[in-house]
Amino acid sequence: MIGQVHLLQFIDKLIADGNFPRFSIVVGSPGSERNKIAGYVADKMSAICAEVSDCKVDTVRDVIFNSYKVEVPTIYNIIDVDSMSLQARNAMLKVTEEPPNKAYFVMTLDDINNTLPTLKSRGIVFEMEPYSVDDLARYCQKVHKMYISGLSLFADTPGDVDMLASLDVLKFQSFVEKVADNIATASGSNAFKIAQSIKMKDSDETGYDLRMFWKVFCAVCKDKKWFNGLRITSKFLSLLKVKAINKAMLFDKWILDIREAWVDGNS
Amino acid sequence: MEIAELKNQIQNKQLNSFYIFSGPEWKVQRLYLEQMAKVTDKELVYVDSIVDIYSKLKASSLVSKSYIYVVRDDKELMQNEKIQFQLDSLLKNNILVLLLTTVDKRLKFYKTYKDTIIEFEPLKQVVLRKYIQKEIALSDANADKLAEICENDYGRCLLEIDKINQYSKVFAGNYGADNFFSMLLDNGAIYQPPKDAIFDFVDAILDNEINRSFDLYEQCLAVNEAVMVMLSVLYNNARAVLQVQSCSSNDVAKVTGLTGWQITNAKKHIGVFKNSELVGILDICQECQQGIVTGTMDEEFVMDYILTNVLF
Repeated sequence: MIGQVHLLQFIDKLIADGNFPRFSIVVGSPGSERNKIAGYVADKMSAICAEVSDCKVDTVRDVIFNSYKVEVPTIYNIIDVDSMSLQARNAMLKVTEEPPNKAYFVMTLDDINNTLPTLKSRGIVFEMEPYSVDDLARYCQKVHKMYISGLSLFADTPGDVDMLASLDVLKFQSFVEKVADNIATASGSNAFKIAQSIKMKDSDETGYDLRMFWKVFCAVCKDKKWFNGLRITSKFLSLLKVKAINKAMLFDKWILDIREAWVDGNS
Repeated sequence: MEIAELKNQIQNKQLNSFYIFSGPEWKVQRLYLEQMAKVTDKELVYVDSIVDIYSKLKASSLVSKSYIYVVRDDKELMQNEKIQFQLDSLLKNNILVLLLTTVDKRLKFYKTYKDTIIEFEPLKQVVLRKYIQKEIALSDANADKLAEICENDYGRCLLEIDKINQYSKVFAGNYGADNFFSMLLDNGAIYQPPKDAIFDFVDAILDNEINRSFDLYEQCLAVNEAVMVMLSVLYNNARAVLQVQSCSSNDVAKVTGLTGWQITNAKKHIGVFKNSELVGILDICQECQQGIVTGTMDEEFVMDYILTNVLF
């Protein structure tokens, strides 16, 4: 793991004191190494780490059922639970109230508001720390063995670094700049076409990641001193954290708002 | 278990002690139950729950008479593992048939008895036609039509056939089953389930037809159309109309990136709403989608909210 010095120190202390909670929630943005925390804890506690990537109620029930039978300390790393169904959350409520003897549950999510308050109150919440530019540059060198231009501007997490490494960054940046230059002046029908270059669903094979697109757009707005564009885009970036939000609709709304702001700013 | 296997067991008079029937064809299930009772010479007994007969089954009986017990959606049987464990010893010479309206594949019960479940799917049209013609002298075309109206559900076909028979009894004179069927169909006496109306509904909104929109909305609700789906279709169509309407180029497909079908469909609604009004529709759809997923809007009232804002 890179960075996270204070968080890991805190976890180490909890483990050393024998106080590591039976149920904990790790909150961090997508692309942060939040899913590795459970593995780290398992190493320190010499426990088994079982990753649960499917948050369907059936799987969660199976995990809970098995957790009562394990004979060695086991950490269940239930990852990316933002979209976990209500039934599955309710199932988790029961087991986190009185956890089995040898089981620990670690849940990871984007936004703490995407889980039940009652579930939140049953465990300790660990917030991932922001990564420094040096951390990310080291990660980039170590994993991708390359230098990425714009890393300090566009990347906030190792996941961002991975994404940028898979892109032609300069081409991507010039695409975003082109959008910024033309979005307000292009015809409405043409402006909506930008959506075709963006990945709206996980199943979409092509297209730029929407979060990264908006992050780069914010950087471009700062560069061009277009603060209205920055204000609107940062608002939409935060809306991406809302689970199950329709990205295509959100993106269209962003286009309309940006165009309106440009017209207002020039009238 | 396949139906064919059950059929073989009935023919060979070698039945298991426990069956689970599921699927919409309750009438066919009943026919099979009657056949099972006939070949085994056991009486069919419908009970509410296994609990009702538990003590009777547990007690030793001097009378050798055995039964086919039929229970529907019995939660006790599905949840009580103790009863499930004892089932074989409990039933002795009796047979138990559990009828399930829907099969919940998440239950442990399903996993345990997966191989015991017999799915009674709707009959194929050719087979159903023969079944219908056994009951009533309808022509092939009308028998097929009746099957289609009843969504290939034999039970529903029988109910409609009964209507035709009753009607023909009241009206003296031999007009023939086909004529009575047509008459009842014209008078709306044959039940026709509401059809998928989502695209007509969205078209009606984009044509600003108030009454038609509300009528079709009711129809969408009758077929349990999801609000999110209605919202999504309305959004995509309104977006396409906006794109086509605001496009000044001759090559609409190239500028907008829409398909030919989308453009043709959008052109039907051009001029009904101004561009700013279409933007308003997009705004309101996005607001509602966000409202639903964040819990600030009740899904039940979202379409009413959209319709009143868009159409008035």
